[in-house]
Amino acid sequence: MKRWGQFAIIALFLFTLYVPLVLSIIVKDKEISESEKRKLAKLPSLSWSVDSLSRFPDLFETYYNDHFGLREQLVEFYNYFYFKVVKKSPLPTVTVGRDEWLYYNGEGVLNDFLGLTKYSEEQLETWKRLLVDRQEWLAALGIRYLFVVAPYKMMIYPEYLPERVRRKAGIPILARLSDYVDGHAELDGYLDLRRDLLAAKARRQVYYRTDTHWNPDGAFDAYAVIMQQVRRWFPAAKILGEDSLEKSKESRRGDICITLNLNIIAPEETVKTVVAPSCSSESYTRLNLDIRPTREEARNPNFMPVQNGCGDASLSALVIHDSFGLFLRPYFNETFQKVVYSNYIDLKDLKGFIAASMPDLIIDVRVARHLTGMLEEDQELERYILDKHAANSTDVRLHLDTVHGKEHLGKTHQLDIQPRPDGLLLRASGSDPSLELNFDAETGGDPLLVRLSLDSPVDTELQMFYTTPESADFSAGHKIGKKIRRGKNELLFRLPHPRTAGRLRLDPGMVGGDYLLRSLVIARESRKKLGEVGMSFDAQYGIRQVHVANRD
Amino acid sequence: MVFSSIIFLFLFLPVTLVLELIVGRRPRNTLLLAASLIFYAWGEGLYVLMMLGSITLNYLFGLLIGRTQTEEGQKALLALAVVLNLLPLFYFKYTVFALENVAKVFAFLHIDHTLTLDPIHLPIGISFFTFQALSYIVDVYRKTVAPQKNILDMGLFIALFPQLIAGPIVRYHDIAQQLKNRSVSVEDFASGAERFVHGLGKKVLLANPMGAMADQIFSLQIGELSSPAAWLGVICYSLQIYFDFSGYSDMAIGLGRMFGFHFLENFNYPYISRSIREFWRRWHISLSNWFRDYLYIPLGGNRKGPGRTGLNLLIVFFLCGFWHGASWNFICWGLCHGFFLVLERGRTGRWLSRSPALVQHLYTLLVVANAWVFFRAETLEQGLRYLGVMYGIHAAPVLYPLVAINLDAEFFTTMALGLLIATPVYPVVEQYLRQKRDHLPAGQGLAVAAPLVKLCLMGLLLLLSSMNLATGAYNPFIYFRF
Repeated sequence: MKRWGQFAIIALFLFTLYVPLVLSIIVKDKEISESEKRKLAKLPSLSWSVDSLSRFPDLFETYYNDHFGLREQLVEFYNYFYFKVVKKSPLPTVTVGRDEWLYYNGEGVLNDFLGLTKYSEEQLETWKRLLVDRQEWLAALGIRYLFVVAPYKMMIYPEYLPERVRRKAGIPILARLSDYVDGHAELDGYLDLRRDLLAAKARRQVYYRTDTHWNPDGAFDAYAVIMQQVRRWFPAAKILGEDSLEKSKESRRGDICITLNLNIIAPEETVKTVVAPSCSSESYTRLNLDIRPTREEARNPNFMPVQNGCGDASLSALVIHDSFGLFLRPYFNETFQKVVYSNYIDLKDLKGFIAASMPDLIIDVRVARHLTGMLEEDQELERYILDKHAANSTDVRLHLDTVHGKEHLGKTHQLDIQPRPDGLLLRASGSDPSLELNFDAETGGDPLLVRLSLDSPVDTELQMFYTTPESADFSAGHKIGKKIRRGKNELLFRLPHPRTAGRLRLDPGMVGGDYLLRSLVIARESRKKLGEVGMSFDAQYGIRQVHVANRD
Repeated sequence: MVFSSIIFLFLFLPVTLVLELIVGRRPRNTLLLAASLIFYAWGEGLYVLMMLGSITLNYLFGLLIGRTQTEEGQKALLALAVVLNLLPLFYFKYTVFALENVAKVFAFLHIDHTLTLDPIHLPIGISFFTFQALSYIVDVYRKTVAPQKNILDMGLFIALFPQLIAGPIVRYHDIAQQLKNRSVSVEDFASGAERFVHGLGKKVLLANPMGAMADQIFSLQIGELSSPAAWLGVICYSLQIYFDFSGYSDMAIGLGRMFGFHFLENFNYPYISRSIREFWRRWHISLSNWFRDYLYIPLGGNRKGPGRTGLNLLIVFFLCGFWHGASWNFICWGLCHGFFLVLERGRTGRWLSRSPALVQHLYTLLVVANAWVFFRAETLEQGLRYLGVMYGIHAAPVLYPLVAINLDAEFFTTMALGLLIATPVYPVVEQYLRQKRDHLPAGQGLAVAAPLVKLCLMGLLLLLSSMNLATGAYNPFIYFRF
């Protein structure tokens, strides 16, 4: 190559290397990146200790990655290049559709849309059972419970997705749960908004083009469907009409647009609604509750529930929600006399507050991508419900102790059974002892409750394998494991599969030794609701020194 | 620290270059050694002490072997040095593997044991610098080179950051003179910068996207993996490993030139080979040369008859696989290559050499791609199952949706570019243009356009790579494992 060409290459290379370095020295560090919505790393300090020296490279690299010169310009240009030239999203959590429709596909949304979310029938049953438990517990308090799932944007507007994504659409987990719940009449307050919003979109746009959320019109349509359900329980409930909304136009960049840091995407012309006349307060009152949320990220005084309401209305409500619920607030404010919103603290942690404040209604509304998160197990609630149900479950299918149940015993492995006055001694000769049991498991879909009293020689895990009509063999996919401690253990649990077959395998522990099975009872869970069997709710249960106080 | 990182590109490299320029000729090696040790310690912390130990050990043994008069004494010292060099490699790399297998044997024989299998940190580049040091010691013993008397230069030979953690395995005699007296011309620096940028582009713009698809496919469960997806996965992985490793070698060679070192080539378009034998003359050349000179030939090479030659080849490739990783996968991969090398020395080889070129290419690519399955799979079992799916055994009927939706224009463009650049198109075009240009007066047409195009290409690669790195793309090098 000619000499000028070589000099040009060197100049270009050195320019690329030194400009970011020089800029990182002379330009003052920023503290926050607005496009990334996060604090940037600070320059780490260095001291002559082994710990400090060993941690310094990683910390410094994180700092330098956040602050090197031209970083923002390079990222912005990269995003621009990807969006305009490659016609794709520069971020894996965003899908760019036709006509610049942007879709958030983080948190497993894409997998779910493609029908790839792993689930089992046990999982669906466990979720449904949790909702039924919540409903029953609240019904005993005289509170109605409505569980609402807002669809994510891909569910309502798949037509703007790239063709290669759209044609691979599968069955999302929400559809599976809704089908499952529909087939069981026990849940009264379950609302899947997909069908209503698909119908509403024929009339007007219900989700933003550049944002994850429904727009005020879509939120109002969702509100109307929710309130129709509420009115079935409370016929006098106030419902806002479309005529009580004042609409105006606004130009808006959605949250996905901001995340992409792309100013080249034109703001969308969208609708803005205000309820007029309004009878709610202009500001929210934050409640000062003595609650320690299970989720660490919710432990922030600013995340405590807030309150609003309208004096003209009659009902009180607690609305537990995510960001989709924020769009419902203006309408709920006018609908309820008193409405408390919990944006960050889940129902699991609000039980004490609920028992103390006794709202008429609880609305639990979250977007479908948070479905699994909002249905996390609540051991406290389950234990409470099972205790009450077990006392009334008289349809016993298996009762095994010193006196009863020998006819249920089947094959054993590494286990010798010796009757003793206080129970059956299970002498395990190895680390994989097991005992098979046979019984009549047909319940017509009602769960089976297992109550078990066992003395263990060590801390270990008890496992119960069950069979189903589809799977007659014992497998890791059909088992329930419970940690047990050395000494006496009292266990009470449900078999998670809705159609357990009549063959079980009990592995008392995972080590050899002498286990004493004092009793094992399997019974059909009573379907009577708490109120019907005359149980009074223990008002102290689950309450953690609740103090509800308005700031003013 | 990796070359394709922000901290290396926009801090370590510019600072080291400017210091090298400032300090003048005499302390340059000391500066470069210090920079290399910081480079290593940045990622490996106190394991840099092990490298300092290796430098001291080999420096002393080099001098001792050089001063020892008797053949027996030299042999004894060589043997001791080899053992001391290999001990850390065995400890860090092979202990867990050995214990796992002993535990399996004990379990098979129902023998109770208390062997613990806690993982041991593998210092990056240990396989490379150990082999490099061994080559020095053996060359001193063979009197191919004189012992290095300056411990700083010895340190620089072992720790030199451009080739420290993923090769090429530099032989002492190749750079002995440059350690003593190196200079950087404008041509060297320009060609080094260009080579570095090409390597960076290969890594960031080709290897990473191909790797993302390969990772996605190899992570599928067997029930989710269809035959076409399995083949696509192995093609993507073949491209990933080539661009990943040859990209690193390009960057190493380029950096070497910028600091006045001329390393030998490590890759020469291996996927255009017509036999496995040719493949190993084009793939990881420094490693195959090392095995040839320090293992195959001492074992007798091809001088002791066909049977012994075949055995020697199998031994060499068994150890070559084992060098790459302490698992049965790598051993299987190595033996697979060894097996076909033995085959090529017999009737099959003669048949192959008479076959059309297309058949030869297809045979080589098939063997290489199938063997890569063992290289990429997490376990031998996964590798065997994956191979089964490639040939229709337990294959899913349809392409997994998450894979299908990623087969877009960007992916196919990248793949097509990868396939093109894996063949010597660029040097052929460059050569053609150079010949044309040499017949033109300066300042006219092609004479101006060709360098301009080259400059634009380099600028584009730099820009795209920098943008990609700035977004924080995850880009570890495959060969850092070895």
